[in-house]
Amino acid sequence: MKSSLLLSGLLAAALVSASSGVLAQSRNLDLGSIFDTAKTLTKSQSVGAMSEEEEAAIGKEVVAATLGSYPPIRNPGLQHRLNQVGVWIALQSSRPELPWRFAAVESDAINAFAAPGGTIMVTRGMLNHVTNEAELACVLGHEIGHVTRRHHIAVLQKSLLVSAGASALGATTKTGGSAEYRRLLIGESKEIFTRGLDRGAEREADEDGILLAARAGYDPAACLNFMQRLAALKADTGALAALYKTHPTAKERVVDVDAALGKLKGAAPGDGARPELAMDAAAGGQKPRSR
Amino acid sequence: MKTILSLLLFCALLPAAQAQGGGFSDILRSVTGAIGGKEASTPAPAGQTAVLGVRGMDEGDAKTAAPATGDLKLLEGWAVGRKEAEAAALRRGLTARPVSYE
Repeated sequence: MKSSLLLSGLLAAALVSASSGVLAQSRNLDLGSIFDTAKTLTKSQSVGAMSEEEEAAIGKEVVAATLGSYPPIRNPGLQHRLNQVGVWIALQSSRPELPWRFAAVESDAINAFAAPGGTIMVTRGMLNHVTNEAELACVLGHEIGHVTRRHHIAVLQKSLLVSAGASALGATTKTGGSAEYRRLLIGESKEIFTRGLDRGAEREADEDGILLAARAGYDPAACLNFMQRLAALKADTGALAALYKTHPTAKERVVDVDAALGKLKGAAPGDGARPELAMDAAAGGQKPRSR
Repeated sequence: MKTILSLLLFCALLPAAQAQGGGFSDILRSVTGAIGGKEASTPAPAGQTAVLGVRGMDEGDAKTAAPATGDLKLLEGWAVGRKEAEAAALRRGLTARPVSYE
């Protein structure tokens, strides 16, 4: 309550400050919007405070933007198979009820993306890099971990105050409270997602990848094999440039993955399936947009 | 404490950004920069929907591409339900098992 009052007071101070300048002459500030935003901000001090609907709405925007750069591979058979594998792994997670969607996208980079709400995108380069379905399970499990732990939402919520300040001005556009607020939140994600998450979040996601793959019946040692092969590639190759901007190096992750395998209970390394990867990523090609 | 500091920074930067003729997008960038965020190299005009980037995505791509909302329907068409995923896993010889960390 104390922090809420303080916050409201500061927002009011911001309003007074704004009103004393050029802004007051040209814009019609909406006090209600400012305090609504403050209320939302106060409620959103924890990651769990954001509803699944809000999370999904933000995720939808993120997915549309990603597909704008990396279009989905036009191969329904590949996409269908990827979804069968992805949903099976997601069912082993703490949020099996989410509307999980998986898409293979056009890019030679070795990478995968997780959007809030349950959409996972995997590049053609990644599908060409994994050697069996168990390795793909590790990659998908890693991304599923980012979603179930709401890593991106947590980072976004840390910047809510900035969004709140901007929203006070954005209210003058009269475009509506929640839509405008969400747009600002999404705008914030631009900075956050291109910088990536912290090492701790990536380590958690790697651990989730191993855990979910093992629960789904795959050999968890495939995660180590995948990471070792990634580490063997030259870090300065184009295919890995974007990945290394936002993740620890594969050599560091090999150490983390090896340590996680040692803590696993219920499935030892070597214990589990390594099905052939029944996905032809070479088929259905299309050039990425805007390149 | 950090959030309070951010708001105070916002108050301080707002008049300056306005005086420069910038819209709220410019102000947002000013505040983001002040608290350690990386400033965008190509500022978007005020009121324009920001182009998104995704973790690990090439920043150049993120800034130039338009959202592909039409492709979202494709993803919906490729979606698979729980029963189908379970049946497919069974055909591949996969069985769920209880696994945890010590």
